Amino acid sequence: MSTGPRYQIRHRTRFDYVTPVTQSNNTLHLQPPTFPLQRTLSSLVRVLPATRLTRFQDLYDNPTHHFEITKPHLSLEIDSQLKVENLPLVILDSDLEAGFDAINVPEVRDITWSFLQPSRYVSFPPPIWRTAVDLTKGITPVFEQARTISNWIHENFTYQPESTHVHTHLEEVYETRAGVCQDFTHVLIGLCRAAAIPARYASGYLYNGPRGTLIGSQASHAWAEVYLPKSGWVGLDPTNGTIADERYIKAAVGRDYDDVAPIKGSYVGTAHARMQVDVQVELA
Amino acid sequence: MFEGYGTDNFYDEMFLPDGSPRPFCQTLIERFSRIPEEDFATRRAACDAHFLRHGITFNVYHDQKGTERIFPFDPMPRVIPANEWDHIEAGLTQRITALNLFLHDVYHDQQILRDGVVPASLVEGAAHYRPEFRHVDVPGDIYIHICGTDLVRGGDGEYYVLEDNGRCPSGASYLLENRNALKRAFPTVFEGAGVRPVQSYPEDLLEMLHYISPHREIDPVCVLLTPGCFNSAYFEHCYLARQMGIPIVEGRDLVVRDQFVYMRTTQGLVRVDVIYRRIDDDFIDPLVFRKDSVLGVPGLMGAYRAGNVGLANAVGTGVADDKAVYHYVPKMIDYYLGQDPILPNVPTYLAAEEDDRKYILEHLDELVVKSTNESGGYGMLMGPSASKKEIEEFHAKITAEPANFIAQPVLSLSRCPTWTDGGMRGRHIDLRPYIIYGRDVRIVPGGLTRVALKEGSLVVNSSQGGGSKDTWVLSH
Repeated sequence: MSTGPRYQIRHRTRFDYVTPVTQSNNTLHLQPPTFPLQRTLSSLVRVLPATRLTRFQDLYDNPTHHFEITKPHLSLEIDSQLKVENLPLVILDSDLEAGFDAINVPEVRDITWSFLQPSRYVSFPPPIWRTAVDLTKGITPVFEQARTISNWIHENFTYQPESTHVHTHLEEVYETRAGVCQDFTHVLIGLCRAAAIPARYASGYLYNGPRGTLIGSQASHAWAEVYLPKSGWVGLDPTNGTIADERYIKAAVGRDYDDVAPIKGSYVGTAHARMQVDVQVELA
Repeated sequence: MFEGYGTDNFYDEMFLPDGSPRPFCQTLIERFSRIPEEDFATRRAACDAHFLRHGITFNVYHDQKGTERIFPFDPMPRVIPANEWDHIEAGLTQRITALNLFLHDVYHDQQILRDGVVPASLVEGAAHYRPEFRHVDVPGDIYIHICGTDLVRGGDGEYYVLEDNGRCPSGASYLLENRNALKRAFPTVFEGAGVRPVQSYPEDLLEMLHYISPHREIDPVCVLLTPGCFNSAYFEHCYLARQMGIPIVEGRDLVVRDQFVYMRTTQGLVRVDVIYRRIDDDFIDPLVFRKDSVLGVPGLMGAYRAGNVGLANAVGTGVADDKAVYHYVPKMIDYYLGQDPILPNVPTYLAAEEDDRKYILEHLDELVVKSTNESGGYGMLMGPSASKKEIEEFHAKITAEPANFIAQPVLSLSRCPTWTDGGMRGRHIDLRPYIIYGRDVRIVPGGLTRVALKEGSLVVNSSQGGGSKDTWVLSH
């Protein structure tokens, strides 16, 4: 029956406002779609104060929740509970060796086109393009090129919380060579797209044993995925310099962070707010 | 032992329609068949003696014969395979989350009523709605901490939710003791069968009580508040208090000073942080609810409103387990969670709605009619088996007060082999899992399986002559 690990994830976010706020409108990306190697066993999103939660599929097939709270409120809590089952990652040998001719065919370009264009946080101005060309020179397989770029980021960038914020653009990170998983993922996506490798943003969670030491294991995490002709999207984690295997749990995918932000919204009221996030990933 | 056993066109929990055992029950049935019949009878008698000697009993109201009875125990367990349990667990978690969001909403801004998803009149008119508690924040924003949701399986093999018991559900002690009795009397049957344990229930319960302590001390003082030894579930109150290692108190043992609750002890007053109350809202505080209550604690609601004491369950949860509100639970799940219900409701007709009422009155002899604010099988009409006089009585009652009644079609409940005077025979069963909602949602694998011991009977309530079985959830 089941062959892969099962995980239980609890992702709680709480906002406390100093004075009551109103007109809160929010979009959530907390419930994963079904992926070839990841199945959602159950998912529950609870919003307090209680309000109507509507659900739709976004452009990239992610189940998306939306809600509004018009009445004055002092706090907002979003509590996501998720159970998923992952299958072990297997990359076919033919995919490890596949060159660009295999992904530059109409059927594949149909799927990958929007993941080769610039997007909200990702662009590839000349310096980035230059780096991409230099890093991939002499390497034919697409996957090998992407892995080389990912490892380069892992070795040359410094993980430094607080050095960036959620709206930091790739170009800024590229200058300072410091940031968090979200920033490294944007850099990897930018370099891949510059090298004509289709790349997308994956947001989710990482399980690394009861006492996880990998970065991002007790918070929400982000990594990039590149497209291979047979296996489809395969993840690379530039923050930890690894391939995203069955320890990685995807919540949503898109062009960059802007498409998949777990919680995105606005309200009318004080800017004095405190946000607390608590993520627990356990084996189920 | 299984000679002459037939499934009689009902969904049978253990046998396929062709008479062969369901694959996951094969070993169990073989093990039971190996026990000689006299031996089986002795072991059964030993179970009954065990229950009686340990005082595992309940009281029946309006019964003059004697106050204590044992809950008849049938040694043939009910078995739930792992994948079915996963389905039930996901469905119950979804449901309890939606019910708690509904209560939070109803006691705050009432968005769902404004949006017309649930009729406001239904909530405002519900017998257990407590408008006194609007805009009162409860610890953790949880209202129903302990819920006993009754599930039945129809002829199609699908599980349906029959009702939610979100006030003071009882029966968890029988679930624990049934397991003990079975293990003691039939150790060879139980051994190595891969049954998931249930013993964590009291621990989960206590952890939840600690979680809702308003003062977040290291070791909050929790107590169990009982109405006293004449309550039908008094045994259970004592049992759970003992298992959790917390004091059991009656109303007169508690006092309120400066909006804090204290317990009288031989060493003076001790402050109480959390009360697991097994006493209805109506009786809990004579200052707020029934003035004639001598079971409650005067001033308790003031302390609760001031946030100085946690209560499980919260006050006013009855509005969510109202039998008319039940009809709207699938809509709540859609509204608050944006999901389809995993466990469907039994189709329900509301006498308050004109079309439904007409249908009910015309089909009284085919339907089960229930009063919206009673539980335990009281105030109920079983259409197909009712006398003409009973039907006429209900006709008059429904016409007089339609809002108090709902009706459901008679379900062909699933059956499970049960020991009778004539050997193993199929008897109808239901399932009541116990959901604990604290830091997270925990459901003890299985629950209490109740069985209607009379042939053909569909009423499983202990007060109406039902029995119970041990419930086995198999591990993956």
